[in-house]
Amino acid sequence: MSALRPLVLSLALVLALVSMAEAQESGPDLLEAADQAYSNVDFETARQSASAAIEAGGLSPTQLVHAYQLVGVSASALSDMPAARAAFVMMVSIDPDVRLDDTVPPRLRAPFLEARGTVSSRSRLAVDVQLARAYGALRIVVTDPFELVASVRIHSRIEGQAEFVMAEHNPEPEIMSRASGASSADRMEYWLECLDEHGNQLLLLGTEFEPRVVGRAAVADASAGGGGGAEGSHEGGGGGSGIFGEPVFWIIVGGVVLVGAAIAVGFAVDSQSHVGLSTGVRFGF
Amino acid sequence: MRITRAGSLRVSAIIGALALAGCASPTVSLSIGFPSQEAFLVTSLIDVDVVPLGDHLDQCATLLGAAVQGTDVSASSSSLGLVPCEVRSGLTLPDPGGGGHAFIVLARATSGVILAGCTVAEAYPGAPPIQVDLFPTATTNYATALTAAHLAPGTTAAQRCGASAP
Repeated sequence: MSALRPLVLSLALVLALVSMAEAQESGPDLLEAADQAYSNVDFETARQSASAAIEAGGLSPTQLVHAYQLVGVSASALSDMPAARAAFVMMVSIDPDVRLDDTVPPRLRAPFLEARGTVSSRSRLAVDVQLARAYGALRIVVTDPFELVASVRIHSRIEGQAEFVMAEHNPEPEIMSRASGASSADRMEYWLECLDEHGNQLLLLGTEFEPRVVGRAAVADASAGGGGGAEGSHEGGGGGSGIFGEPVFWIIVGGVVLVGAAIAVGFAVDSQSHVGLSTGVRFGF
Repeated sequence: MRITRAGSLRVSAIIGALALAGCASPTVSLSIGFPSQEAFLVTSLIDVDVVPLGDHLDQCATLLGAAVQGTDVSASSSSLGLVPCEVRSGLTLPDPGGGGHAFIVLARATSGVILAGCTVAEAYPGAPPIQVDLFPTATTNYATALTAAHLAPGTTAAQRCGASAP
């Protein structure tokens, strides 16, 4: 047993070193190191660490944008303009509204401005999710003008359930993500990640704790309860049963909307003081 | 639940009434104060200038002086040559617009501007009445105008305006 002891200790040491190395190599940790290097005006290290952070993966959209900013600014400071431009293009592609930190000197901003010019002409990265009951699926439409998305990961559940079910898809303009219960569910909750080739989040819709919801609006749900039957027929626009099938109902709804609009316009006009002056006189004030 | 055609017509009628009520334009009272009935009787015409003030709400004296002198005061609306009896019975003047305004009123006799007044106020739906009190000007002698008017003793505004009413 005593002969094995050094071996066990060595193995434990190796495992500890490996786990430490793995911990150091996580994207957020490397990004922190890059930040530290940038604060110390060590642009070479900042650039390397930020690049390594991106390659390590696991960054949130905000962290990813920040990492590309560090790469871009550091490359710009090192006079590597093509690399700076490429990093800024990635940064602006992920977040077209991003602005450079005020602390970045003007001379380092030129590649950023070029990148903005390149990116601004294209549509932005976006995802739209709908409930497609007829397919028992969530329909995911991805707009990815720079083809940054390597995979789309959706976590979904029927509203009220405890657990999300995750499904991962290759990037396609339209993805039908089959989801258990989607064909009969009133509403489904989801959160979605668009990941880059390294596993960083390019885009995040909702979170596990604040999921997004697709499906019927609550008011439709309440009315359907009284009518009975006709489940799911409204989605495709067919059927027309219950109160929603009555043209008179829609006329009244239209009227109410018009009156609401008229009142709102009236208030807007009133607030702009559309009033007449009605004259009168008095004597001996 | 079935909605009948008659029911929908009733709803449409209510909606129409509400829409019409919403379109009715509110008015704010502009009350012009004369020092006496006599001063009203001497007045042959009334001018009302409304000047937007922006953030400078202390310009009444300057604007009034300019108006009495006949200088352009950049009014957003000017109602000139109003007949006093029509003003008394109630005229509707144009919308002055939002924000603070100087409401300048000049009362003219044949000899010139005999009375003038200015008030800073804002006209908006539900606003309190705007009161402009008129005072004799220095440019024209009020007493002279009174003499020239040849008023019969005891004449009142009601008699004057009643007589001139169609």
